Amino acid sequence: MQLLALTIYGFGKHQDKQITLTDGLNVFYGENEAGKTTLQQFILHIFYGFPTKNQKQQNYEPKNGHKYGGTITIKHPDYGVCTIARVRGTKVTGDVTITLQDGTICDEDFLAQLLYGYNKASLLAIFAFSSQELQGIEALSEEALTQVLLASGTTGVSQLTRATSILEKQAQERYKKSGKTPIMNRQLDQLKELEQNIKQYKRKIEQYATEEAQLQVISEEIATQQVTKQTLQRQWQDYTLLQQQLPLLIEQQKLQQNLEKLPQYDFTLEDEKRYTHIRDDVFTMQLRIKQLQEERAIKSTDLQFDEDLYERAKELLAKESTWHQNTSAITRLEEEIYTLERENAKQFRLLGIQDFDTQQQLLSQNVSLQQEEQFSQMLQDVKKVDDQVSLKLHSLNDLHKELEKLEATTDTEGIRKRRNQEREQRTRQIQFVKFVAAFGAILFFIMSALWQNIFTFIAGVACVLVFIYLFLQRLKATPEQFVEQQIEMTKQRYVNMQEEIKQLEQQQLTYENALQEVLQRFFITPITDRGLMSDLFKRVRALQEAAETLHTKDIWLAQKRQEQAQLIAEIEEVIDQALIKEYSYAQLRTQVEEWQRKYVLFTEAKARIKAIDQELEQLSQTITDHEAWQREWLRMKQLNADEVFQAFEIWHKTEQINTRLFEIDQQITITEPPTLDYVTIQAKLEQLAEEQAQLDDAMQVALEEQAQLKIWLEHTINDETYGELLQQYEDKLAAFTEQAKAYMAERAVQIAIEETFTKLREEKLPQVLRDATKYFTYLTNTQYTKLFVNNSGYFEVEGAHGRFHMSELSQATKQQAYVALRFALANTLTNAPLPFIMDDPFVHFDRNRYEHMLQLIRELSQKRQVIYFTCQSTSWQDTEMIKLGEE
Amino acid sequence: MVRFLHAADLHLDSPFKGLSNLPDHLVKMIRNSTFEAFNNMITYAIEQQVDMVLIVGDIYDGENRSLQAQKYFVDGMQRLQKANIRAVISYGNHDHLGGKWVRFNLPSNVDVLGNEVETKKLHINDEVIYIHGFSYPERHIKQKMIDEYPVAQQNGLHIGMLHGSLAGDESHDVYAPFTKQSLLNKKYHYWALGHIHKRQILHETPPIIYPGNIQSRHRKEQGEKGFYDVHLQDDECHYQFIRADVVRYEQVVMDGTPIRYANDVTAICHKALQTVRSQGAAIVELRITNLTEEGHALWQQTSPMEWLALLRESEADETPMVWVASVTCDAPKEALTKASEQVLALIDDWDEERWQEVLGELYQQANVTRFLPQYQTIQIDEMKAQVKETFLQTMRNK
Repeated sequence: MQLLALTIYGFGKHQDKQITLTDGLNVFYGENEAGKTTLQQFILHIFYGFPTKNQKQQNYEPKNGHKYGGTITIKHPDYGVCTIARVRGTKVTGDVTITLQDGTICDEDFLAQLLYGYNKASLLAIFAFSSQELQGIEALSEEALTQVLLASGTTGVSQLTRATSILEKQAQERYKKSGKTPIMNRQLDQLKELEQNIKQYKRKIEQYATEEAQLQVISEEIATQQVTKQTLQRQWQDYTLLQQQLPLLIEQQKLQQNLEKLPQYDFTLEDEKRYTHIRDDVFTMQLRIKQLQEERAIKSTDLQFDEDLYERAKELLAKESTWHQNTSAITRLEEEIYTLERENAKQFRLLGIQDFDTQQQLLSQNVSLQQEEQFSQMLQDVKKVDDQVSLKLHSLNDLHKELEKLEATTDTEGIRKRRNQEREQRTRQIQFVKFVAAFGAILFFIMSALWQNIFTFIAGVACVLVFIYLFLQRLKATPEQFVEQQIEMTKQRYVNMQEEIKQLEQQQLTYENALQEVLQRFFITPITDRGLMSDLFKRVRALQEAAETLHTKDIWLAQKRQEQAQLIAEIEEVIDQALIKEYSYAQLRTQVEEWQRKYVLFTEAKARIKAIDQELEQLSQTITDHEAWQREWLRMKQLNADEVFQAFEIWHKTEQINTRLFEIDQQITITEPPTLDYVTIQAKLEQLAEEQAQLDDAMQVALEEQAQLKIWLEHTINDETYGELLQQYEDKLAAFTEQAKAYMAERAVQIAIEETFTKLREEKLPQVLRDATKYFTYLTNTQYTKLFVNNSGYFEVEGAHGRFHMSELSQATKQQAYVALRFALANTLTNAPLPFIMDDPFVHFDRNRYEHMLQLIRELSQKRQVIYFTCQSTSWQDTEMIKLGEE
Repeated sequence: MVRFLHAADLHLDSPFKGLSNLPDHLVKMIRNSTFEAFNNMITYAIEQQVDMVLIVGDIYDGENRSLQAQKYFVDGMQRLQKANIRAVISYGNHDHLGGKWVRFNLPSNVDVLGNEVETKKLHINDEVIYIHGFSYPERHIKQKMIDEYPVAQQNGLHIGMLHGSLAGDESHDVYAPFTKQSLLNKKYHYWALGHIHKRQILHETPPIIYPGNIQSRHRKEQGEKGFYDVHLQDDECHYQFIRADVVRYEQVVMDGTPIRYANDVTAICHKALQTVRSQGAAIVELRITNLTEEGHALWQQTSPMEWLALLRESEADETPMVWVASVTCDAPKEALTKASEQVLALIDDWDEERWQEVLGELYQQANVTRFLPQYQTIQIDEMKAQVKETFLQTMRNK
């Protein structure tokens, strides 16, 4: 296949360009930036598509919006001249149209067929050369270099080498035979652990049936034990009961034995009670009879008593108050008489009447009220005259003093002066009072006018009157005349007064004589005391009354004394003993009291003896009845009286025994006690308790075991762990399997790559080495004559100086060897006649080597089209060159 | 007329296989899933007041049966007893009678078929029902037990219970093999089969049915799981599949054409997962196809584990739970180098023997090999695909 023409619509800097190519060597010459690389990329992009966004390739789409893409016309051995057009289209990679020689239009899918199935990478790897690639050879290791050289003829071998190392690393991370950390190794450990766990659980599950059976056995055992326990408990209860009732049982036995020994009586409690009661009654009654008889004898002595005498004494005693009244009346009368006599004597003495006759005369005088009135009038007259005389004497005395005073003022100049002063002084005083009265009058009138008050008006008038009086007073005559007149007047009055007093004293004497005359009738001696005179009648009258009273009392006193004497005589007669007058009633009372005691005893004894007699009769009757009943009863019971109480006692005893036996019978629940031996019972109980305790222990153990088993079974049956473990195991196993498969796949790939290399070596190497040796010899100008693979699989060269490993060669020689191998490998690909594309790969070669290389390329271009881009015009013929950037 | 439920392969309390790194709550749910599925069936039986329940083998998962599983089963049977529902059960290869494991007493409403073919005669709704079948006396029954089954002769309804595999089916180990014709020859009214976990109707009239298991236990047991509700009257038979599963396993393929950006991935996946979710809780393997070159470029930027984590996180709060077990996309149509092509060609050329050599490394190590899936169970095709993908993935990792 060869490229005939390139038509560029727009690609990078190239626009609307048409380039024709020859079938051999095509050298594109241009300076840097001339567009050599762009042109190279144009070919690749038309063949393999424009770059997508995700590819890190340069985009050559014209910036000015010019039509993108172009066509490449090729001459294909099978399809003839075809045009491949790629322009911007719906796909990012561009729309492809292929026009075949016969005019057939094909789509993109046909492109691969045209290009012999070579993709971009493989095309570049085999048919493209660049300086960078050759430079990179230097850095490769011996082994890598060999691989690269070996693979140079086969696209992507270097990638395979890299892939192998990646896979190796990945596989190592997954698994190492004796590793610990790789994933699978770790998973294996986990799986084994899980497996172990599962086995354990499985054993547990297998154990389940055994444990379940065991549970059955234990449950049955427990059931049996429970029955045994119940039996033991019953027995124990029986013996406990026996033990509890043992004293009763023994007592019952004893009582029954005792009962058999005793005689039997047919008594009732009523019999005994009645018999005893009656016997006691009889005894009590006999005792009572005796007591009563004794009492009767004593009471009989109280019957000697004089009832009549006792009655008289009581009557006399009833008069005791009269006696006492009389006694005190006598005493009082005596005292009163004595007092009266003394009072009278005193009155008589006051009146001056000493002798008895005079006294009697006075007592017989009329002292009526009329007489007294008359006497009183006389006394008043005398007193009136006395008072007048006394008054006149006083006035006379006063006049005498006034006269002396007046006579004293009329004498001296000094006295006159003093009088004048006094007058002036008085005048000023009067004037001041006048002023005050005038002012007050005005004030009161104003007030009355204001208040319309009559009292203020009156006060006003009063003030006016005062004023007027004082004014008039001033008008009086001179003082000296006034005094003379007065003295004269006073002397006249004094004389008159003396006259009046004489007359009155005359009258006074008259009255006094009349009064004395009356008094003569009552008294032998005259009296002058006027005070006594006024009381005279009262006193006489009192004396007369007292004499009367005294007389009456004397009569009473005699009467009382008479009565007392009579009483004493009667008492003496009754009590038959000498009396002391004053104590007669005390003696009588003593006597009566004694008799009263005796009288009580007497009455009592009388009543008592009567009652005793009745009772005695009753008692003897009752006793007779009782004794009859007793005899009858004893006869019935066939007993002697002296046997009765012993019989009762025995009967009581048997009764008690029977009661007790009944009680015991009530309490005893055991019908047939196996034994009555306490020790035996105790031993049996202990034995039973022991057995029960042992059984309990056994049961406890069994129950615990049962509970544990139940828990275990319950737990085991509900334990989800086993299922979970299985799932976990499967989870891990799946993960492990995944890893294992990945590991196996990685290993398989490694093996496949290894095999590919071997195959390459074995199949292609001989021919490749032949051609490579030829090219290498030429390129090195026969300095090296052989290129081969040694026994270790590494490349070696052989020349004039001997054999060398590839790595031992100089850089240029290494590159020559590489290029020789590449050309040789390309030769083998006769079924893919694609052109070589070279981008100044040998720019670093020296002139000699460069020329050799160009010569070889020219030679190679005979068989395969070569498109060579360079910036060096030397060494090339103008016919060979297509110059870029000049048109 | 008799109405019964036909179920098989309960595998109670068996772990869900082939899932790793499940979060705790999911482990719990998945672990309980067999119980719940069983519970669903019992509840259905009681609610629908069916006459009896047939369980054709593999009630428990063999040696690993837990006590809880048995307790749960007994509880279920007791519930049936209370509802006056009979049950006829047989044991299969997983829970054969030869096993030395604890056996719980079953209530009186349960008839257990013995270790030789026998006929249980039941009187239900004035019908006489003959149930023929057997329980596995040991793990492996290779002989044709079908030959022992009697041909239906008496009047009444005849039901065959058989835990085994169709002769000639190489995908499973051979257990009590039979042919369809051999079953038909018995002239039964219904054949209740068990053993195969995938639901299948082998024959319409009379029905020969594998109900499948009631709950998926493996990523390969996909789709809805449950039992059959069967009405049987004379020669007429109506049956209906009833779902019982709690969590189902699904593979979902999505068209990735519109994917341009990362959120397109989550959106498309979420849409697909919502559809799955509408049918209840599930574990899902997602596969994205038809990715464009751009889509692939996007996909490559993030590792598959990261994509998975992202999806799981974005779906975490949704209910019912749908767990994304894996997410993959078809390999891109990528231009391969000659070398790569050669490697792939080489892998394709490996024969079985070579494969055994290639994969044999781990199998030769005693402490590893016992945890590996049996070599025979490894699908070379799958392995080949994985190896190729590993290779390409490595090559892509520039």
